[in-house]
Amino acid sequence: MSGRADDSTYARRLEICSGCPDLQYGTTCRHCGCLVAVRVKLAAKGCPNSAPKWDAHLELSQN
Amino acid sequence: MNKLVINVDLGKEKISRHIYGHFAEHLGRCVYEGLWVGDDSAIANTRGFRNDVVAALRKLNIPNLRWPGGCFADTYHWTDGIGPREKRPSIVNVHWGGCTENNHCGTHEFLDLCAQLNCEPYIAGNVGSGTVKEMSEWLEYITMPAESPMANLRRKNGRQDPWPLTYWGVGNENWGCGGNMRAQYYADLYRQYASYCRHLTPGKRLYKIACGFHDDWNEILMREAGRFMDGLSIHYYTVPGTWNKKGSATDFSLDEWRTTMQKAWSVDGFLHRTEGIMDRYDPEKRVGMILDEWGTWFDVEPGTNPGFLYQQNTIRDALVAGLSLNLFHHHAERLHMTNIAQTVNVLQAMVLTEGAKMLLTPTYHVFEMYKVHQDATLLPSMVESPEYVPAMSPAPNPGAAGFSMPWDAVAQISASASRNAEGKIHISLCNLHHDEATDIAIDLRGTTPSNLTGRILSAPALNSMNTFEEPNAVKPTAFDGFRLAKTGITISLPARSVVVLEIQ
Repeated sequence: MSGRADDSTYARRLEICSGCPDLQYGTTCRHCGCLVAVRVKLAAKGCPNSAPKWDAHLELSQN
Repeated sequence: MNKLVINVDLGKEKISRHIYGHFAEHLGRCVYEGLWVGDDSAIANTRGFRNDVVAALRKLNIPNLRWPGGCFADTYHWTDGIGPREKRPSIVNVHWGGCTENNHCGTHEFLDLCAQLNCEPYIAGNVGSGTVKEMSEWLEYITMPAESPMANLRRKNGRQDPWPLTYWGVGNENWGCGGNMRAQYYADLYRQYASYCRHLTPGKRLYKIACGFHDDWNEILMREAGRFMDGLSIHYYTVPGTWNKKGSATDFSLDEWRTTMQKAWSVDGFLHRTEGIMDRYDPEKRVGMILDEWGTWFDVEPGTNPGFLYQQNTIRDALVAGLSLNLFHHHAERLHMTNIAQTVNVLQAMVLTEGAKMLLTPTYHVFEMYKVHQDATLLPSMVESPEYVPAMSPAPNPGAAGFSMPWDAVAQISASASRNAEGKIHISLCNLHHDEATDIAIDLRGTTPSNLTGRILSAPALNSMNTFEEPNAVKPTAFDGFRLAKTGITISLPARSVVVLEIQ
C-alpha cells in the first residue's frame, strides 16, 4: 500500500489524469478528491472512476 | 465498579428525532459526487442521486437534512439552481477551495433527495450576500400552492405542488463567514428578514432559526430578537489540536485520544451555558436550541484537496458520536435539533465514497445503533464513574467555535436511556477508556428486567477504521456481556466500545 509506483507507471498515470475530463482545477480527481499528483505515485491505488482509465493489465505486466 | 441508576418509572422529555439530523453542504465531495452524480452517471442513481448512499442513509431514519450550507449558504443564490440544468450558470464556491460548480443540484433536486430519504428539509437562506426579496421569493417558490409569480415559475420548472417544508435558517455563521456582522446588527437584520419569511401553504407554519454564536452574541440576540425566532443555532466542533494544526484523523497519540474525548464532552458545558442565556429571555422554553453543526474536525487526509475537508473516521469518531448523542439526550428539553457535519465525504461523515465504491464509517454505525432513541422518552439517569480525563481551566486553546471555553472533566462512562412508544427501554453506553475494560452495575428502578439483547461497536486499535480495501473492519456485533439480576444488570464493557441494550 505504501509502495511507490515505478517511474513509467507514474508517468503513464499522470498523462491519463492530465487529459481526463474529471480532473478538477488542474489538481483534483472528482471521484476521490485526491490530488492526482499524489495518487499516481501510490502503486496500490487504482483509478477511482467507475470505468477505470489507468490500464491495470499493463501495470500488472510491468510490475 | 461504575454505577448507572435509571428511573424507568419516570421521564417526561421526548428525545426529538431531529437530534439525529444531518448536514449536506456544497463543500468538497459532499453534495457533488457523494450524493449527486447526475442522471447520466454510470453510478446507479435515482434522478441523479446515488442509490447506494440513499439506501444507506435511509437505514439511519434520517429525520432532517440541512442544506445548502454552512458558509456556502450565504453565497448561494437559489435562482441559479432552478430551470433546465444545461442553462444554469456555473458558480465559484468561494469558501471551499474556489471550486466551480454547475448548479445541477438545486432546489428541485435537493427536495427530491429529501423525499427519497423520507426526511424533512432544513434550508439555510442567504443573509450575508442576499436580500430580503430573494429569501422571501425562495419561500414563495417552495411553499405557495396558489397562483403567484414564484409558484408559477415553479410550475414552469416542472413542479405543480408546493413541497413540505418546516425548518428555515435565516443565515449561517453571520458572525463570521456569513457577513462578519456584530451581534446587534445581525439581531436587527434577523428581525427584518424573519418578518418576510412566511409559510404560504395554508395550515403550515415555518420554524425560523436565528444564527447564534458564543455567550455574548447569544445574549444580545435572545434579548433583541428572541421573540421572533423558533430556534437559536449554535455550532460546536471537536478539534483535538488547534485550528491551524488540528491533528490527523487516523495517526494520533494517546494524548490526542484523551483530548478528543475531553473536547467532545465539553459540548455539555456549552449547551448548559446557552440554555442559561435562553432561559433568561425565554423561561417558557418556547425557543429551541439548534446545534446545527457538530462533530470532529481533523486535518484532511494526506494527498487530498485541502479545500474538500475529507477525513477518515475511526473508532475514536464513533466514541465521540456516542458520547455526544448521550449528552444531547440529557438536553432534550431545550435541544430541538442537531446536525452532524457532514453526511458524505466531509468531516465526520456517515459514508465515504470513491468512484462507485462506498463504505460505512464507524460513526454511521453509532447513528444506526442509536436510532432507537428517536422520539423516545428520556429516562432520568445518573452515572457514577471514575474520572478519565481531568478538567482543564482556563482553556489552553481557543474553543472549537472560535472562542475560549473551559474543558470539562471526562468520566470513563457515558450513558443515557429512553423508553419508546412500545415500552421498550434502550440504554446506550460508551466506555471512553483507550485500553481498560470495565464493569458497570445498572440499577433499573421501577421495573424488573427480563428479556435483554444488545449490540456492540468496538475495535482492536485506537485508529481502527473502514477502508475501501477493508470496508467492514469496524461494524456492530451482537453483545452478550451482561448478567441479569433481580433489580438490575451488570455489564462488562470492553475498552473503547459503544453498546446499546434493549430491554423488554
